[in-house]
Amino acid sequence: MTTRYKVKKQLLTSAILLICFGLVGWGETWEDIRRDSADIVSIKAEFNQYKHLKILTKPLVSQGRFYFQKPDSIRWEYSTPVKSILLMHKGNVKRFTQGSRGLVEEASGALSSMQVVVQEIGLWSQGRFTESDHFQAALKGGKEGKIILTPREKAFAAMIARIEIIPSPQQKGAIKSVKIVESEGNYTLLKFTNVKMNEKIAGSVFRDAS
Amino acid sequence: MKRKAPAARLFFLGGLLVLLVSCGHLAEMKKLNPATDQLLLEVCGSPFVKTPHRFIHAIEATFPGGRSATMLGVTVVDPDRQALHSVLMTLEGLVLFDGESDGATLSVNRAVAPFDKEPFAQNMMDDVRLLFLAPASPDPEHGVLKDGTTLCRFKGNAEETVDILIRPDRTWKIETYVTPSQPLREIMASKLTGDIPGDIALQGYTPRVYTLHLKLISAEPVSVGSKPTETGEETDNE
Repeated sequence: MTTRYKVKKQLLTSAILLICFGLVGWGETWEDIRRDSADIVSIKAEFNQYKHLKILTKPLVSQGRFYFQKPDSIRWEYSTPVKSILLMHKGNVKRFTQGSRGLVEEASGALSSMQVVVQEIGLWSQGRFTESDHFQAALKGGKEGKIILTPREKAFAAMIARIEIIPSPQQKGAIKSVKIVESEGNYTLLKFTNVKMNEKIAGSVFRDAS
Repeated sequence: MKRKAPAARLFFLGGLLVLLVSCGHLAEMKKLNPATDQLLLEVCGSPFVKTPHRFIHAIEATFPGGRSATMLGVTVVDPDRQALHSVLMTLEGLVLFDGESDGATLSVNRAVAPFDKEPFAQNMMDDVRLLFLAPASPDPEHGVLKDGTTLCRFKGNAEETVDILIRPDRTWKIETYVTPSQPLREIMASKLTGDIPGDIALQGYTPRVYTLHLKLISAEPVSVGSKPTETGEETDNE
């Protein structure tokens, strides 16, 4: 696996994470989103991930939870079907996956590239979508407003056609779903539940995989 | 030089013996006749898929130097058509490779680097074929090892030999090689439910050394041509 490829893969992985907590706060304009986001210091939530493929008759479901602490700490954790934990804290990025040798850190020469992404996370978590180097953002109005992100770079565009983000109508600052469209019939839908904002999260959550 | 303790030497010799027996396949082989050896042919085919199925696996790939990556794999197998459709994706669901093969032709629907190189696609689909579909070569040979393991030997592609070893507990092993000193693939299956293994370990020797551990997430029969449902289970969690 080439380093270049791993960088792209890690960036895309992170892009999903960015979206999950980047939409804190919701408004009619980018300025509204930025202003609302300024009040959010932490988020924790559970998620279900539904992978739709033409080869599947029903989606493949993964479950997990995520934590975010301003300015740039993240824990993105899958519990099923494969336990996997991505930790980002103070510029360090680690990934642990449950495998034949237990829960072990995945060796990767590209982890440092994730530090670049963490800087992006800072932007998104402050609602500054329009400043992303990797995605162009469009805010769509209508009955159910959404943000549509399209990749700026060919490397991303080869993997993701667009990302659609729909806000929660019930909870200000929360999102209802994130849809990552790869191609016709192939997409990933993330749905969030039990979203809690501005609750205290222990620092160890972002440092320790256990 | 320090002499080895007798127990250690015995252990070493014992290990050597096991190695010789397992590697050398010291069995008297006979050609199977489809007319009279149907039962044995069924035993030889027991590791393989008999009707169209869809499998989902967690795949842990390890490369030289200890680098590893975990992915999800979805494979639909249709043994009647000798057809395979495989998708490899990240845990986050991003598709890295999507390919189909009917044995004669290989078509790649989607591949991102480094999975976009033709040798990768061909090698991957060959591995998937070896895992799920019985070798097509006629006139396999059959023998029984001293430990009761059934050995079925097929001719593979080119100069390859495919040995299928079915242990008395029905767990199985597949070895492919050019000569015994030129191994190509070694596959071990365990934790069987019916004929479907819960765990598969694949050791590849060419074009470079790698290991795949496949952990079964789901296996289900499929009707060929079934269409995806748009909503699936996600509405249950609204």
